[in-house]
Amino acid sequence: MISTLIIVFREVLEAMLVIGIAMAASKEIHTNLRWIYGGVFGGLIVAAIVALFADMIATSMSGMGQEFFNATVLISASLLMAWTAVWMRKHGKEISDRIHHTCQEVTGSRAAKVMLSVVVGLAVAREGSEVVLFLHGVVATGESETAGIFAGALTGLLLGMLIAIGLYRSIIHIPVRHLFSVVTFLIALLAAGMASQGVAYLVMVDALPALGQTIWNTSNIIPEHGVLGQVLQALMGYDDRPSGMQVLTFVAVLSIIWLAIRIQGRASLNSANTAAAMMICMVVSMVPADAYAKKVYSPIVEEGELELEYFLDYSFDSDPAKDGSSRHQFEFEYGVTDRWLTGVYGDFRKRPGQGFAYQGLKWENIYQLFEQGEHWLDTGLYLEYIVPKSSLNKPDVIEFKLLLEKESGKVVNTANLVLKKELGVNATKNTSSGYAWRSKWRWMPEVEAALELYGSIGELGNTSPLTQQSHQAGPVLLGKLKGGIGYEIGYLFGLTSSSDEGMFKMILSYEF
Amino acid sequence: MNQKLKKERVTKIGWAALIGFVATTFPFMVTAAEYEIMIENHRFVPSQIEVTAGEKHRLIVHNNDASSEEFESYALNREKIIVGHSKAVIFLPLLEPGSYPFFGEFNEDTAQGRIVVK
Repeated sequence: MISTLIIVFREVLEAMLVIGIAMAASKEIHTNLRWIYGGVFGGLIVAAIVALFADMIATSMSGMGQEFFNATVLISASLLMAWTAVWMRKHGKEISDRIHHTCQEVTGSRAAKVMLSVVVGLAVAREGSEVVLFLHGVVATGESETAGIFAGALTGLLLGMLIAIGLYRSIIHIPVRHLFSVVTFLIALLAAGMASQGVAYLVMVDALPALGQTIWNTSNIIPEHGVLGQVLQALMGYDDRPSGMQVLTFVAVLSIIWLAIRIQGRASLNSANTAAAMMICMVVSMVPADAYAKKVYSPIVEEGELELEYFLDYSFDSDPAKDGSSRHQFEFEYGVTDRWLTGVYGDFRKRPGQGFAYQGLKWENIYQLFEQGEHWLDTGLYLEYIVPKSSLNKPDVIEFKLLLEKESGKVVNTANLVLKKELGVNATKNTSSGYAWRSKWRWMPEVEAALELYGSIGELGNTSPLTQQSHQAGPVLLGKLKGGIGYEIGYLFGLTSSSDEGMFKMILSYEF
Repeated sequence: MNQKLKKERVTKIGWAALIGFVATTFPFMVTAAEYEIMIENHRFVPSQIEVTAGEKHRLIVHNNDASSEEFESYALNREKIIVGHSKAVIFLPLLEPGSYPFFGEFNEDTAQGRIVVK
């Protein structure tokens, strides 16, 4: 009962802290609390969904999947919070000065509202899911009395809320002129703590070097599992025996945020975002990785667009040869004219039990055929040439895709019809075909929701039976944040026995 | 049926599909109504345009400034760069009644406008 109490207490405290700080922050930028409640509500729904699928999730996460999932959620949340802290510091004063203005809202402040909402939503979803999965695990083992478990959980919940409310009240009693800095500082601490906790998970599964197992041991001064230890853990990721990597990450995140705040101005915001994005790439790319780039291409080209992209596909499967394999791609692309986009990719894979391996280079081109909206379907042609690393003895591949897109009000449907041909001496297969589909709802620039489908049908004229084809489908969240950072994050479910049972996909992009 | 006839049939279907696709797309080009907007001193002139709902319209944006501008609108789902002293055509999607703001990304403070659909 005590362990349940402590764990629920900590999860609730973490969630309430994020909510409390977000509420204090939204007061500062004079935003409606509606956004915070929306985030809490959204997060609770996600946690409820997790509760429904608890069994399935628990088994698919067995092995090391759990740690990677936790790490990704923590580091993403950390990134969002870091951005919020820097943005708020920059714009907060502007906005409180304009309080008498009655004109349209500053677009920037809407971005902050969304950001706070999403951060809160993520925190509640994560904490809620962890509580659900933990309780599910405890009840499943049948070790302790169910009555004791629920008593512990309830007490933990009440205690967590009490302490969080106490902290919130003391925060809002700080004199106004200091409040903003204090809130920013708290958010920065939270971001650094989350990042170091995320990193701790990755060190646990050997995805990152520890750089020293125990830098200090304060378990006799402030034990991690005591009440104060849990409060500090929620607040800034306190660990009584941290590894070097955790300490390094904590210091690094705090420094990046502080630097970004010091060098005010557009350039600094971009560089903070870039630094944060690169940090995520660096951390995630060391995560242990096969599959086709899970991206649905639009035929629309933007002239002069210069963009860096990072793609991650991480597979989950009951087959141990496939479970935990991942594919990482780094791309640099440029819109040469308003019709032609060209880009170069570096492809890396990590199979379970093996290291990170370079696979080859890809050269991609997109040609937009008509003006957007000129005809009933926006159409483009995609041509890609793949040159694998010579020691792999794999064939060169040329891939052609027909890109089709149709906007209908707020919904955009995109289809990619794929033809792939192996060339040269090492070619073994005939031309094969596949498809990708996306239905996207354009809610706002920062947050769009989509359903994506991907499939490969096999060789033309000799199509494999359905069970041997790979078909995946799943939800994806995407958007473009102020400062040029774009993201896509989703989970694809395998629809046939040959498809990966689950695949986590993420695309991060930075536009110069 | 034998291989040769099968191949002929696929080819016929392919041509029919291509002609069908071209035939259905071209008529849309003809019925669009045109509206002109100038970019002068980093401002859109006129800054507000009224159009009718449910019809295909197009904007012709003339950039009279020396520097290029990017016509951008999330609501209209359009982004287009217009080089200095040139023009660009923007085909608008079918729009429901409402107000659709747009702005010039390179001069956001002054280049603002909207399309009001009635």
